[in-house]
Formats: sequence, structure tokens, C-alpha cells
Amino acid sequence: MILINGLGFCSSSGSLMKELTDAAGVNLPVNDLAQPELKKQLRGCGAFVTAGVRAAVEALHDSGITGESLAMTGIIVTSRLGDQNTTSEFIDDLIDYGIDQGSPLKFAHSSHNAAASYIAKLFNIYGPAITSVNFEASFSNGLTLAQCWLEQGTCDNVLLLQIESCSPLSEVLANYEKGCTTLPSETTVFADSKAQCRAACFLLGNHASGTNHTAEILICRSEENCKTQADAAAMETPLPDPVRLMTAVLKPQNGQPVTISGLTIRITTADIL
Amino acid sequence: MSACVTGMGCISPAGINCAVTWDGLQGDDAPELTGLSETGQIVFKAPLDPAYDSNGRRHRSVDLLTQALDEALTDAELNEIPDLSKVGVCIGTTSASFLNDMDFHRKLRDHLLDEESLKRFFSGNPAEYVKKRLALGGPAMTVINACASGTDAVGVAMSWLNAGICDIVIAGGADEIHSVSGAGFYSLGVTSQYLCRPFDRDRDGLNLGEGAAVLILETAESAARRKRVSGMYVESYAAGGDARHITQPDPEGTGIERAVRKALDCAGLKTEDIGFINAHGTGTISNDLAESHAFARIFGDKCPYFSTKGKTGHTLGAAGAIEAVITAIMLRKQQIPGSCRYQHQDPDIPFRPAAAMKLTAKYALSTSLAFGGCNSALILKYEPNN
Repeated sequence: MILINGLGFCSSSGSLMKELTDAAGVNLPVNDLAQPELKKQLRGCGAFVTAGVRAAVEALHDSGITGESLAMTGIIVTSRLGDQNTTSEFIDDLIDYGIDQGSPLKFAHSSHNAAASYIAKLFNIYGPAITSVNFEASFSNGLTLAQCWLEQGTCDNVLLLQIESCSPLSEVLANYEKGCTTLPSETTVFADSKAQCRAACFLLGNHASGTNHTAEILICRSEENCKTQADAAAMETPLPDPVRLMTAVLKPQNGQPVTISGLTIRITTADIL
Repeated sequence: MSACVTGMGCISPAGINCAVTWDGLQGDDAPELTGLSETGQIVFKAPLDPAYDSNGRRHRSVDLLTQALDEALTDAELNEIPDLSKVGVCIGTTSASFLNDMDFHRKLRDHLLDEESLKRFFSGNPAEYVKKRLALGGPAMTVINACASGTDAVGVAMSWLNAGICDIVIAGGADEIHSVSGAGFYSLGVTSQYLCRPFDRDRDGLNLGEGAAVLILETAESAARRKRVSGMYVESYAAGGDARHITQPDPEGTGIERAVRKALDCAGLKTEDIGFINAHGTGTISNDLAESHAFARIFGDKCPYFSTKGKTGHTLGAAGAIEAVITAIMLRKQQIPGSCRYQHQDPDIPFRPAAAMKLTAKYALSTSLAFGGCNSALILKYEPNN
């Protein structure tokens, strides 16, 4: 039994949950967590890490789970492209100032697992952390691993995230995937770590936390749909799979399963609020 | 539940394949293909077979991976895979996950799109590359956990096997010497312009290396069905976080201690069951301090430990997989090579690393520490008559 005990959906500048609940046609109270301490902790980070941390904060707040009960939580961060903007900013310095003039701060933050590191540090989480970058089935890979960890007793809870960049560079990459090789004519700065990023986060567990969003889900692998709708949609929106699952949790459709890349998910019970 | 290792492949600066790697780990000399990075730091190159060199059409990491993969598939007699739907692939890397081609970025700034670079990027995700090459039906996941990626890829594979998602998983790691990551490690001040000396008092940094390793992991049922019993097993895997710093390990090594203790617990082993430790041992001040303090707390001064990075270099996302294969080779030989170039005891390191020796060991430990405070541990078992 896997339970979704908390949801978070954020950009690097704030919560997007109201946008999601409005689109799903449900009316839920949403707190946009504008915490000065969070801003301080994230002052050295780019948008990729910031969006991920904000989504994790929101999901944990939603679940009501705090303190020592988080210590052995697992963290799984998935992404289609990873944080290419911070890497590009590091490379820009090498091009502009020389190969021996890279910024250690930018290099340290360019590692795709920086978001998991910040989440672990902020919440004193000592469990396993995996970051994966895959063009195909990125989020469903993470969901499958989360299920393994919970069923095998590797950890008590799992924070599962997908984070994607929304910058001129990611637009170039998305366009290329669609077969368009024309560059945006006005753009001169492609790498911009302060550009908006988006992140979705689920707090998964074996036991209900007893607070806001709780849904029991049943996950089945179905390799057939692995490369159909979700991967096609990924080119249109940055987070199709987690948004589809989140929407189904917020507004269950009479037992209809949700299909995401390679997985069919049946929401067996949902208790919102 | 353990996983059977039914095939292995490895290319690193210590050797072109598994058969010659043991010889490549002997002595204190530099590996044959030693050179300098663009920032003047020592790097160790891997002897890639020209038959696998795509001459830039693919990432070099993927070329290295392909060579190790073919060796492992042959070793496992898996050139014809019985049921592709239950075969997954999990590969750790760092460089192959980045759009880190400096020419691409130079051209982009001039408003030109380097399509060749993008083609290489989009076809170069290591796990997806293997999945497509072998037409596998199981999951494909590329793990980007910095320098623990290769170990964590084996850990993910274990989870899939234990859950019944896969009968066979191709697990490993691949990474190349890359100018951008070289510049990054130089910027952090952790690379050395001399040959690295893990755990030595006078160590002053790491030497970057490159390579790839692949382990074919199977459930006992699958291995028995294919009559592939090697006697080598990955007995357990565990990971633990530092929750402390984005690049620096916890000085006391509490994260790696947590991972090792959990791996022992999962395998139902006592500390005295571990015959030796193939440590992460990068040759940086902070890694070697953290790791050796953790070993001392867990094992006292009883368990021989050493680093092979003096011969392989730090192969980043490939390191954990390469060291898992090397650990298996040592278990088979019942012999360890000792810590390369170790001479002087560091008074801050609780006890000395091991010299070359023969031993009797059924279990061995391989550890990895990484940026982001990720720490992971693998326990391998060799039971040839089982």
C-alpha cells in the first residue's frame, strides 16, 4: 500500500498549487509559504534547486509530518533535462575568463543532485537520496523506485520530485526535440539560472499522516504506454506526469486509472481534507 | 535479498578489461596513459579499444560504457537475452548527463545551433542508450548522484530485482575525462598536480580518471535457469545522507558510517565478517579523514582498507561500479593490492591503510562518498562452491 500524504507544486518564486486546483476545478485552501528563513537558505541557489526545495517544503507542510519522523525519509529527484542552466553559467565563465577561472560555487551547484542535498540539509533527512535524469519515463522511474523503497522497508517516507527548467536554453532544447532548429531571434542570454523553474513533489509513505491530502495508490507497470502520451506531452509542458497524477489525486475520476510513462496508477481511496 | 553477479566488464586506467585489471593495480607507478588536464592537473586516461571509439559521434562515456557492456554480456553469456521484458538497465554517470560541450555554448552565444552536439546529448543518456541498443523491455534509469552514482546504480538494480520488476539488471557506471568537470574540480581546489596518495599524510588532492564498469545482476532463479552460477553476489546495498554540505563530506563520516552499518544490517553480517574494504579514498584531505574515521568507529583497527584510485584515478560517476568490479576480482583472487603510493601515516587518520597481502575473505565492502552528502555502501560475497 502506497499513500500520497502531501503535495507540493511550485515555481522558483512561489506556489503554483492554486493554479493546479483551479484547473482541476476543486476549491482547496492553499498556503504559499513565503518564509524568510527559506529565502536565506536558498540565496546561493539557482532556480532549479529553489523550485525543488519550495515544492518539498509545500508537500511536507501539506502532510504535517515534521521533525525527527523525517530523519529516515528517502529523497528521489527526477528530471528530463536536469539543471542545464547552472552548468551553462559555469561554462560561460570558462569561455569568458579562461578554463582556470571557473566559479566553485556555480560548479558545486551544477551537480544535478544539489536539490536533494539542500532538501536533506533543510529538514535533517539522513535517508537515501537518488537523483536521476532521463529523457523518457523520468518521473515514473522515480515512482517505481519510491514504491520499491517503501515496500522493501528502505525508508519510512519518500519525497518524490520532478524538477524542470523553463529558460531560453530549455526552450531551445524542447524546440530541437520537436524538430525545430530555429533559435529565438531576440534572445542573447540562453543560460539563466534565475529563469523560472517548476517542481512537483509528492510525499509518499506506508501510513496515512492524517492531514490534508491523502490518497492510496496502486501502481502497475505497463511498458506499452511508456513512450506514448506522456513523452509526447513532455514536449508541451514541463511536468506532464506529476501534474496528471496530482490532478487525479485532487479530483478522482470515479476509479479511472491514471496512465503516465510506463505506469498505470489506480487511486483506490482519496480523502481530501 | 542478494543478487547474483553473472557477468562483469570493466575498462579503467588500470586496464582494458577485467582480466588485466588486477595486474594494473600493482605497484606505485603511474598508469600508462597519464597526462595533464587543461588546468595542468594530472589525469589518468582509459585505454579505449579503437573498435569502440566513435570519434566524437557519441559521448566518450558512452563509448567506454559500450566496451564494458560487451565484455559483461559475453562474460554472462547473455548475447541472446531470453526475455527482454524483464531486463532493466541502471547506469551512473556525471558528464554524460550534462550539455557540457563548450563549443555548443560558444556557438549558441553567436546565435548558431550546433546540431551535432544536441544529437550527441539526446542520444547519449547512458541507460536509455543501453536500453535501445539491446531492445530491453524493463526500466532504464540513469543515476546522477555525483561520485556515488555507480554504487547507487547497483543499489537501484537490487531494488528492482527484489521487487520482481526485473529478472536481470545491467548495472554500472561510465564517465570520461571532461574539460568542464576538470575545470570544476580545479576550481574547488581538490585536484593534484602530482600523483595522488590516498590516506597518506602528504596527500594533496585527487587525480581525475575515466572508465566504465558493468555488472550483470540476476535473481537466483534467473541465474539458475540459465545455469550461470559464478559464486559472486552483491549481498547488500545501503545509502545514508550527511544532511550537511553541498560538496564537503561530514568530517566525522557519519553519513558513510550510517550507510555501512545499514548494509551490514541488511546482509545480517557482523563487522568481523568483512574481509577487506575497497574505500572511496580519493586522496583529498577531507574525504580520507571522514572515511577513515567512520571505518575506525565501525571496525576498530581490524579490517584492512585501501584505495585503488592511485591506479584508476577518480572516475566520478563510474567509480562505484569500477570499484565493485575490482572488489569482486580481489575476492576471487583472495588478495588485495594495498593502497597505492601510501608512505607516511597521517596522525589524524586513526589507523594505516593495508599493504598488499593475501587473505581469506568471503565478504568485502566497497564505499562511495559524493557531492550532496550522498554516501553508499555495497557488500559483495564470494562463495565459489555454492
